[in-house]
Amino acid sequence: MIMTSSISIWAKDDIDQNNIEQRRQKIISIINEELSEVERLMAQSGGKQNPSLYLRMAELNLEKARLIRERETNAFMKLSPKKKTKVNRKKYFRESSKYFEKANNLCRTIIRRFKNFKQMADVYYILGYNAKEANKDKTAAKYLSRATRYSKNGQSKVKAQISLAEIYYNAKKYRKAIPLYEKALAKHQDKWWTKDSFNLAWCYFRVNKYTAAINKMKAIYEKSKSSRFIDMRQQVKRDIGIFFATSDRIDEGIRYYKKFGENFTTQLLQIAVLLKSQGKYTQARKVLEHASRYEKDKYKRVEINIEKLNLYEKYGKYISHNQVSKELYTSYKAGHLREEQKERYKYHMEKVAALLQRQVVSKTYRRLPKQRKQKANLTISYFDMLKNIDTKRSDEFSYLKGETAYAAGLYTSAFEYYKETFELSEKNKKTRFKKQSIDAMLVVLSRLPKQSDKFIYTFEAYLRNWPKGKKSKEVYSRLFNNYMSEKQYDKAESVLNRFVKYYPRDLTQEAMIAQLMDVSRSKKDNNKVRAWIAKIDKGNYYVSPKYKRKLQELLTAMQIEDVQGQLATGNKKSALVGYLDILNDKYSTKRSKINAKYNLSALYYELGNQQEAYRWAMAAVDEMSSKDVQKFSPSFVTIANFLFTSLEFEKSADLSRKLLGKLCKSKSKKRITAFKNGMFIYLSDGHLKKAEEMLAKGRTCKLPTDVIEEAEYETMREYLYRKDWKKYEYYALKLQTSKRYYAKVIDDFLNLSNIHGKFNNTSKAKRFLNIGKKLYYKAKRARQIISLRSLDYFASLSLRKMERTSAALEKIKLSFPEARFQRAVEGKLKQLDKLVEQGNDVLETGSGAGIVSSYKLLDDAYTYVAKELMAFTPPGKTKEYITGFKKQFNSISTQMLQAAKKYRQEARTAIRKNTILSKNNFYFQDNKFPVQFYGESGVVIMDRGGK
Amino acid sequence: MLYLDIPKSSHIWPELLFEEAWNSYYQGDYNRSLGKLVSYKAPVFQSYFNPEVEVLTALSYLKLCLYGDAKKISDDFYKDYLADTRKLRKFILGAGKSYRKYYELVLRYEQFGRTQSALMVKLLDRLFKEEVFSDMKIRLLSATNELNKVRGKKNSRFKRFALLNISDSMQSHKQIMGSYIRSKLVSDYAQLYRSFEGMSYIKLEVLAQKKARLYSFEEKDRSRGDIKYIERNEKQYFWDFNGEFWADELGDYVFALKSEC
Repeated sequence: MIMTSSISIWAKDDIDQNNIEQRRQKIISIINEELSEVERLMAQSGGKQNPSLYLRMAELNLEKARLIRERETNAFMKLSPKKKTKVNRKKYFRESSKYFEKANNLCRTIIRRFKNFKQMADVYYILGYNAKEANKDKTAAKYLSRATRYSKNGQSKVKAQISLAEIYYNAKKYRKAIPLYEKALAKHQDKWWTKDSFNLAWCYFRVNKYTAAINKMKAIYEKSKSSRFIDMRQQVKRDIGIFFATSDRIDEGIRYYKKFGENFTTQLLQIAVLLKSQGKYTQARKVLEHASRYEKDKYKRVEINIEKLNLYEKYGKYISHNQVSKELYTSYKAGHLREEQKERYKYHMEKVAALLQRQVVSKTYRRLPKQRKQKANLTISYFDMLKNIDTKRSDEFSYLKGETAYAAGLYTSAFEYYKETFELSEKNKKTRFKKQSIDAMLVVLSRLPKQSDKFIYTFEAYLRNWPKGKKSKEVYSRLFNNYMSEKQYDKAESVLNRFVKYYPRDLTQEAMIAQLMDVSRSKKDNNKVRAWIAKIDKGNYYVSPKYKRKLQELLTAMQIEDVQGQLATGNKKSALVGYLDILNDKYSTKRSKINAKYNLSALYYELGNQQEAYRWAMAAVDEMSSKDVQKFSPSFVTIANFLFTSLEFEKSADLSRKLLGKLCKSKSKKRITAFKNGMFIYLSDGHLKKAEEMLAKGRTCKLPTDVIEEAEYETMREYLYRKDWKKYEYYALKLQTSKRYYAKVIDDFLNLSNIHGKFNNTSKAKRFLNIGKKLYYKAKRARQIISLRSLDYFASLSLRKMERTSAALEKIKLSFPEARFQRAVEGKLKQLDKLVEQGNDVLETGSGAGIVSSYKLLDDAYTYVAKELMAFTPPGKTKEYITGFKKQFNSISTQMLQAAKKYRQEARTAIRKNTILSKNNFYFQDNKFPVQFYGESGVVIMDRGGK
Repeated sequence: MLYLDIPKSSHIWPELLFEEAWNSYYQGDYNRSLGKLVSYKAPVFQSYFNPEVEVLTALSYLKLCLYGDAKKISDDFYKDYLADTRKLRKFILGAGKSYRKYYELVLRYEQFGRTQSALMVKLLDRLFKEEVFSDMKIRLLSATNELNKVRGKKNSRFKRFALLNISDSMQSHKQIMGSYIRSKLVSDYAQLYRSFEGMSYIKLEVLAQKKARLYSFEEKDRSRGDIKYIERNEKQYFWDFNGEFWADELGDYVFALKSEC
């Protein structure tokens, strides 16, 4: 019977796979021979009727199937995981499956044809075994149970029982496996006894029958000493410890191991590993503690500690892990670690350090600063040890310390670790972490309270290694600033010189020089300042042309400051001398000179010297930029006013004009002041040409329209006085379109109309009169105040119409017959109505004189008609007719007289209310004294300047 | 030791030798059994054919765990006899109970020295050496002589009667001879069949053992032929076998093979 044999029992470690394959092939070829022999036998003896031959064939097929399956499995296991998923497993194991199936078919044939076959147990055994191979444990259990039942001879029964027990064992049904093993092993003791008992011992262990398990193991160990049995001593030694440990009989276990003369520490370690893999942390720890206690060998102790690391790492006991790591570190320093142990020790520390570092960095611990700090310190402790152990990577571990500290917000420590990394890198001439560490130091610095020594150290270190580069430039500046703030000016200057060496054309040096010069200036060390300027002139430093100029100015500024110092003490004379010196100094810059000129003008103003104040103010404005002029414009305006009040009209106006010229493009209000001042002074002073130039400048400077129009109006008036009709006409026409001047220029157009009338230029006279009329109406609409002269003029036009109507009224003569009389009366009444309307027109003009005159005309007309009607007597009529006629027309006349009276009253009211001064006022005086105003026009003539 | 007391000249000695070999086998003295069986290789036994000699040889090797030797015997046996046995079977089946065919088979071989196979030659040679068959042949020869004599006589009724009578008798005799030959051949075939079966089981056992060795990684170098492995009694002496058989030594050879079990 070959069923118990299996290729797997070739388990000789030293046999390589090739040898196994060769042997497998040999066995398969033997099986093939056997099969052909059996077939021959069947053919010879009509063996189809011989179930034994069927059984033999089934056994051989089964055996062949298992061997081929093993080969297929080996090949399959060698496939890459990717290929494994792709490959068709059924196809892959097709050959072995074919033989398994053959064996099964043969067995089924036996069961079908030879029901009373004596070896039926073997048949079921094969079926059971095949099912087991096919992982059909349920079916396998069924067949093997039958095999157990059918088998009469001991061996077959044992075989079936053990196979069935194995199924239960594999299915972890230890309680079912135990009786089967017990029965089988009690009856039979072949060489496999030890191996099967070993399974039984594990079954006991699994059902917590520790004593039975340990006893069985001990029995196996004893039996294994005999060559009749498979030697399971190694396995017993390996596993019994677990039983002892699990049953909490560790001391007994250690004694047992001692009996072997075995190094029980090794076993304990193995047990601990197993317990750990089973998740029994406490027990594993206990075993390791025992191992530590019993083990005296320093190397073994190291081994135990490394295993402890393993255990603590798995269960996340990082504090314990760290403690053990420190113990190991002491051992390492004492030289108790073998190379391979050192590697494992390092591995564990690196792994845990990496884990902890990840935790430190993670979001989880951000809100738990205490825990984070604790973890960071643990991590740093690991990296620190690693740094000393793996000296080749000391820079890396040191850097990792820094990274951890940084992540935990321990910036001071982080800085020190980075510094350590940097120094290690420099010392060992390593580059990998050199740049990283210095960059990190630069970052950390921003998190630290200002400590110049750290800053200076870092920057100097950086520049020592990377004197040129993108970041270096910034580092130079920062280092420079630090030295400056520390008042180490010599060192700052040295930084500047180094910077200049690598960045000769970079303008950053300008700022550095400026700072250094400021220091010299604050120390009043003008020689030093001059020395700097000399170096710059020599080309030792590169600065912008602008700055170069500024530096030149600086010297002058220093002079100005001195002068201003004099001024502050009230020593105006010395100040004046100082400013004049600046003007004469060949090193003085333009700006300084301008400055000096301005100050001179101010000083002379204060001293009341118009000539000098004017001279320096003009020079200063002339040379100053618009911006500066704007800045100092109040002073200049004051000086201009001072000149005006000092009757230096032209100088004042010139200064104003210059001011305007400079302020032209600005938005300053002072430019309007300057414009007006200049403009009106020129006009009043009769400098019309200059005034017009200023006006033109005003337009160019886009001064507000009202300001310009005002100036134009005044210019126009000036031309009226000068009887320059052409210019007068020019400005009048220019202003006619201005809303603000509708009313004002009516007079001027009336003037122009008169003037042109005098020169018989009727068309122009008419045109200007029309313009005047249009402007009059526009002014009325705009409710502007129109001059009395204009009002009177336009009222006189309406009055002329009224006079014509009055004349027409008087021309109508009353006469009879009655119808004619009637028409004449109607004609008169019509003319009276017209007169009233025309009178209203005059009233609307608002001319006082016109109003009074119009009332007079109305009064006269009504009185006249009333009296005429009263006086008329129809000729050739009867008395009654006449009486009736008179009566009728007397009442009309009376009404007319009342109307005339009313007009007189209205006239008086209007005179009183509107304060009208008119020649005709005397008509409406109550006392009836005909007092009239007499005077001559143009009696008092004054010019605009009051001269 | 009765077997040892029977002289080698006795015609039953070859059979006794085979029995002695079995005895030694049963006594577990496989080297001696093999020694006895090797005697059948001697030229004197060339016409002796007993396939069971090969079976016993193979069995003895098997018992000594000399699986290679056992297998070689088995394989050689198949090689030597299988095809011829099949021809024999075919002939037997084809001839059925037509005894004349058997007679003619023998007659043809005797007259022309030709027959279907080497096995048949061996079987027929052995037949010729059998006393029964020789006796039958003599009788047939006598009948032939008698027939020839009668043919020399003048034709007469008696002559015709005598010729007919002798011819009938000869025919009958030939039938009897044919039947005898058939029974012999069938018996030989049966013996061969059994031997083949035995050889197959031996081979299977050999293969199983070889396989077990492969499984257990036991492939030892064989050192064989040492004197210490021989079990002796007082009538047994040692001679070195130099490849020649001496008549007085036949049946006394003993192998000195170390058991590899």
